[in-house]
Amino acid sequence: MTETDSQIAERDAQEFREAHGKIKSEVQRFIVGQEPVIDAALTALFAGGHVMLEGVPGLGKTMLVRAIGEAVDIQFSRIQFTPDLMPADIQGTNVLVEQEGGGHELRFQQGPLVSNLVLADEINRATPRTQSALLEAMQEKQISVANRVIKLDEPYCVMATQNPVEQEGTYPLPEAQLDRFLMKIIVGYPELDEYEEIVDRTTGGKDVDIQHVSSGAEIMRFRQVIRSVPVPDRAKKYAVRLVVGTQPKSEFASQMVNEAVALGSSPRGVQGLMLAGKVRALLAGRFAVSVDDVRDAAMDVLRHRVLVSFHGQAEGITADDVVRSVLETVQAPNMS
Amino acid sequence: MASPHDSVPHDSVPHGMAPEDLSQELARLAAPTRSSLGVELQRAAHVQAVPIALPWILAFPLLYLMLRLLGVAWAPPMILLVLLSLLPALFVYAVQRQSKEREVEDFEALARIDDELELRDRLTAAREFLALEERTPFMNAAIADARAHLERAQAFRAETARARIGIPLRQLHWPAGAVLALWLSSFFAVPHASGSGESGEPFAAMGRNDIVAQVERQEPEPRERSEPRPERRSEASRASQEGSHKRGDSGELDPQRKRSRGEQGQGKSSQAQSSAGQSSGEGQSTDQAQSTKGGPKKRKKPKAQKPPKERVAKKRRKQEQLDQESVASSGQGKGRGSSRSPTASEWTSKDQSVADDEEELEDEDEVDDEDEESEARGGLQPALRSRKPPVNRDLNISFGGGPPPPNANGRGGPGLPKKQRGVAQLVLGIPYPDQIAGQPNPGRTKVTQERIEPQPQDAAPVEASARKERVLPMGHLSRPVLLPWMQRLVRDFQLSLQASLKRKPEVEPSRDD
Repeated sequence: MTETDSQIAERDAQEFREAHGKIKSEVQRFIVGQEPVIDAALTALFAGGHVMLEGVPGLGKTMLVRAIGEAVDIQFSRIQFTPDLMPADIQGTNVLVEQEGGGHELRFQQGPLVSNLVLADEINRATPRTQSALLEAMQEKQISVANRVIKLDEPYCVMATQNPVEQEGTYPLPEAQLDRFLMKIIVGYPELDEYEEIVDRTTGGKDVDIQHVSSGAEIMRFRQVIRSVPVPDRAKKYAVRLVVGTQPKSEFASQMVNEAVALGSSPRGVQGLMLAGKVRALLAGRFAVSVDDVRDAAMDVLRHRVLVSFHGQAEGITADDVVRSVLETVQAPNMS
Repeated sequence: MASPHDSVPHDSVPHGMAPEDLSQELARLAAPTRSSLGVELQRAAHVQAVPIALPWILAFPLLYLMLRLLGVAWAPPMILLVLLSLLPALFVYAVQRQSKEREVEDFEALARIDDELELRDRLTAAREFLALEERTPFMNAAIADARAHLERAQAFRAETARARIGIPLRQLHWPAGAVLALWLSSFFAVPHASGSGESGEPFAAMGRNDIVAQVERQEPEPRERSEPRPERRSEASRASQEGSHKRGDSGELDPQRKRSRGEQGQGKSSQAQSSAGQSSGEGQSTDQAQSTKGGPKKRKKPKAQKPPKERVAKKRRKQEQLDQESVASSGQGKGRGSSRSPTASEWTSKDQSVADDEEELEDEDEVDDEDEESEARGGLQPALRSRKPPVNRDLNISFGGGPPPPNANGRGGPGLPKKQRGVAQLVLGIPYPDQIAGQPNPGRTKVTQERIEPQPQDAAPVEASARKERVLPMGHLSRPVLLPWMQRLVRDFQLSLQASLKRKPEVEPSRDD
């Protein structure tokens, strides 16, 4: 019996859900709770985007990224961003190497940026010069050093962490850098019942050994599956309205946006909403993106693309408040 | 693995239902929801339009009530008020009509079902994908997924039409307020509103004060009341002023008028003059006698200083006087109108034109009376003063050269030469020309700069020579100031010189002699 194309799609979607579930289960062996954070991080990994994890110290951000890197059989590297970190430290540089015959030569030594999954820990502690070294790698998936261009292997994903407090001695990321992250995930405190499990796991004698449950190739295959998920006009228009709604003085801008936002989302926001919506649709067992998928992904996708003005900051308005107001005011098309 | 992102022509829908059948099924599913959605749209338009329109129902009655409270003598006809109040209803009807003409599409109906059943856009996506000629595997999978939820949606549609019925009836306080404002406005009626009287009584429900005012207007006015209203008097005064100026009269009474004033008994009270016997015996009309204002000033005190008892007593006297006068006038026959003698008429008008100040006082007294009447009616009627034309506030000084303005009342300004009081008598009466002949200084200096190109001029050559001898005197030389010791020195020198001359021996003869 030949398989119809819809059945093929259903099978691909099922395989994706299974792979996602495996990785998630493996990560959850290491990370207690934080299920939305894990889902969002895996969504970004499967959608081909980068993730910014923001939370106070001790919430397991770095451990989460390390766990994902362990669960998926891909090359993982970790960069601790410090104020004296230089672009050559992460991109790579030419080093003088002594030859066996007695001479010397300049040989390119690639940096930790050349990897599949890069953990940029405390990314806001490096200078803008070093932060800018990530721009090309995140967008074009390549690194240009001197006259050398290094194509980065796919899947390529940068997962950065930053601390919302202790802003002294840090360098806030520029808008161009922030816009390159598909999602900004806020990592919160665990639930009350999760603390005991955290204590047992981390202070006990057993070490958690994470197995590889997926591979880079599989990730790439599922990326193709995800991109083949169709988006109906309604969801597409709604995503566009949401992004336009974050832009001040636009057609769908709310009063809060007009008063408290200095810069709205770029078209990358629509791309992010679509990709995240597709992942969510597949995970929900559907084959097309719905308005609800876009709405559910909007907060993580749009919050770091909204720049609150000084007036808004003085009023205590955050980017989350702005996105929330946009979600409240912008209606899906043809909804009566 | 299939390539799910490649679109393939696909004419077969899984689960044994053709795409056309599924499209028709979705259309059937959407039909009842479309109709209910259309009704909902109308209701939504109604609900949106009503809060906007309803406050305007109250606007015109409230405005009318405010005008009545402020004493503005303007009353539009009732039908106009009703029509203006119905404008918001027309607006709501127009909005509803417009929403009714809007056609609800299947897509919207399916979206509603999706939202209500939390189908996550399955039906709308399936409808959209079914309309495509080429569908990807995921689109077909989405269509098949929608078919699995079709039965749920079919069970829902009957609920939609029932669940969405609702009439917004929470805005009834606005029309109630409008009715209340109209009702209240009838209690704050303006007594002499020209609109209400002339437009055939626009309000069916007139208040008690309206009726009282109407009855008073319809009653035959007593003689003292038959004095012309301020407007009429001002017109009469204006006419008399014009008449007097036409005759070249600049304010001095002619002998005939003086005689007339004397004959009519200046100083008599109007009550005595208006008695029937005197009036008929002298052949004077009552109006004529009444309009002569030669009597002493009746009431000069301001209203605030009058005790209430005095007011009541005064009212009683006045009522008795009115009764007597009405009796007297009823026996006079042709006492009014054409029986006026031309002389008396001139005198009357002249008197009015001269004694503007007296008129003012009379007006004030009348205003007091009106206020008292107003208070007697509950204080609801506005003062009579508000119906008077504005007084002339022109303070330009003129000295009887030109005709007085029609509303000159002696409070400044022009008018007639003699002013007993007011502002004009405080102003310097002798005209001084407000200009000075000649010019006390050279006037303004005007400096004009012009650009002139330098031009060479012919000059006689001068030869160099030695300086000649000085011809002119040296000029004034300053004398040195002599100090006291120098003065003494000179004096001693002169004295010694004179003494030596006196002691000079006689000139010896020449030895040659």
